[in-house]
Amino acid sequence: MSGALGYVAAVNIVIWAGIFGYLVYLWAGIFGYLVYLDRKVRAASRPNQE
Amino acid sequence: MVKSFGFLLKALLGLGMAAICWGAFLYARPAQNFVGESSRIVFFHVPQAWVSTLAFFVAAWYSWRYLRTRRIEDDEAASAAARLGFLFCVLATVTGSIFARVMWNSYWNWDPRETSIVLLLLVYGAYLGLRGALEDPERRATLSAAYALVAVVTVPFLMFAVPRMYQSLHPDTVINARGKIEMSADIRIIFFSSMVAFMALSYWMWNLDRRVSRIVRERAA
Repeated sequence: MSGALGYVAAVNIVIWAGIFGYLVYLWAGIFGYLVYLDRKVRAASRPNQE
Repeated sequence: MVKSFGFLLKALLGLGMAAICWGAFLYARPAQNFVGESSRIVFFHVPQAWVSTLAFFVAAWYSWRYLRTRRIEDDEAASAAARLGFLFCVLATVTGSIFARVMWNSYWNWDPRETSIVLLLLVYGAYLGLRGALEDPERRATLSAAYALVAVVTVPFLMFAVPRMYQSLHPDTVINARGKIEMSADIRIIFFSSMVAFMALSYWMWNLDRRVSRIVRERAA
């Protein structure tokens, strides 16, 4: 009984960690791209501000 | 000073959204009366719909300003907001559809809420189409500003009135019919943090879009 519960708990942890990990990687990608764009736009607008 | 404050806000947003992803799946418990874990989508779906509504109102506000001042910056702000609203509206539709598949075993049911969001997508899709079809910047700005002011009238009706007027499969709105927010403390904290994070994210994206438009305009001149 406890073995079955342990198995279910382990499967749940793996699934949730997978979804959570996937979302965090997705967010890290979006965030990284926005930071990259932000820096690029800042650099592009710099000569005009002088 | 301003630059470091901006950096701090962005860093907070980056870490905060990651914490929300963690909290949504590993901290908040699933709500009652939902199939399995489907209620967790509320942490992403509702903020997306809210941000899209807000963006459509911002688009209308800047369109009105453009018609009064004829400043092209206001037109750029309006079109950036409409694009952002459209993007978040698409995301809300997709996440809602995933929820529908889990809850009602079908991605699409033509529920009043689903129908109203499709209409909203069509209304703002037409706005983007109108902008794309006109080449003269002044004519484009004037016509699309007038259109945005008409289009925004449909937003409260489609987002807030229709789902309350007809029987719907859609779960209760955040502020329910009794005028209360009925969420457990763990759900409430993640939900409202997510609302703030999505608004901050959309503000950043809107600002970026406006800055890009300005650079493009200055380079073209």
